[in-house]
Amino acid sequence: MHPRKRIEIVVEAVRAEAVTDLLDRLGATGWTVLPVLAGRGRQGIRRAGDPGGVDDNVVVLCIASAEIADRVMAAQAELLGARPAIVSITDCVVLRADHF
Amino acid sequence: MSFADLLPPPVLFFALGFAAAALRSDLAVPDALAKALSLYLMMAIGLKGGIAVAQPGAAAAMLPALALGVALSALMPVPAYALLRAGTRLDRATAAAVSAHYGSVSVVTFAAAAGQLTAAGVPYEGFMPAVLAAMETPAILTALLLARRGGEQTTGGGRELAREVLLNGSVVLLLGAFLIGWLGAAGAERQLSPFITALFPGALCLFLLEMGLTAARRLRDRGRGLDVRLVGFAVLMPLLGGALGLGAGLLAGLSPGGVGLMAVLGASASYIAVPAAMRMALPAADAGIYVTLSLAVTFPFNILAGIPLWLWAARAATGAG
Repeated sequence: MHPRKRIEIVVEAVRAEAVTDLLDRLGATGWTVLPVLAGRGRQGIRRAGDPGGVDDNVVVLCIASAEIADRVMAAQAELLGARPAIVSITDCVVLRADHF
Repeated sequence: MSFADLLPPPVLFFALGFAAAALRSDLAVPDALAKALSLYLMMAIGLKGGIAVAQPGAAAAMLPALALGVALSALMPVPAYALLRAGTRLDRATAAAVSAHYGSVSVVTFAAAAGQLTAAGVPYEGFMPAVLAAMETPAILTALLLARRGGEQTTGGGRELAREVLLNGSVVLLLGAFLIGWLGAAGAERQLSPFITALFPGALCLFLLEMGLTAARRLRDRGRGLDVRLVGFAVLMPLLGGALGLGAGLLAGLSPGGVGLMAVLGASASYIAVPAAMRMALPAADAGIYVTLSLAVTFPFNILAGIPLWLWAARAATGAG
């Protein structure tokens, strides 16, 4: 088992591509985007499925080395900007070291 | 005037959806179906318009109506922005974003008005769907100029903005279907009539049921950020826009049905295309405000009060009774 960092970013669906582009540029070997049904935070409840898709959120998951995770932290200005997002990084282990 | 004229089935389905969500019923329309219905409505409106314009002489007066529609969409954000800045506490970015919604138009409000005209047997110019498509995006540009003038940061370069304005999904489908209908003319009508005409009122009812559910849920989840002045704007602005649209329709020399639709276009506010564009271009603006005002206040107001008001005003103003 090999230790890695699991980066989890909850972000507006319209911004998902900008986030995955950033992860690519920082050297991530891959990422996964998951849809979000609903959530509640400082701005109240957000439910997916409004006609314009403006309230839709996604989770961008990325498993990466500690070095890449540090780069993501350093890029937080670009990652967040004026936009709401939740970024968390946790420790995880993976089976195949050469994939991440 | 009978009960059915005042409250046609699509309006009643909207009310049903609104009441169901307000009472916390578990009634829901799947997202994918709602999106498909909205595509269907745009496609049917575009095709019907194109087929109608293919009739000899039917395209006359299209250019003045198109030009006035574009001018209306481009100019309406200016009074909207001024009203918001003077009368409410909205910041510049959010005021500019809201003003874009009110300059642009709502396809479903148009569909509901056109449905009422058809049900009442009142004809209208076939090219009105082209006017609808032309009015979707000029307001976005004006609002971004207003925001930039106010010193707000807008994101996305010229290319992204051009893509948003020219290749916006609803514009592509409306204009594409309009052209296909125009080119296909009589053959298209024969083939597609059951799909685009017979199914239309039912699809509109189902979509408005979903809109009623969405509007009521939105008010419940996000309505707390609204104050009396914002709600006042969301009712006042469609009245101003509708009056301007009525004037533009008369100036373009449209029929009573056409003038009514132009007024409804002026009164309507976008809740699909513009929110997405504003989220990209003006990220600092509060989407909770602009989507809620347009979708949960102005849209119901137009469906319940605005459409009958403008269709009546158009008949009165054109002397058609």
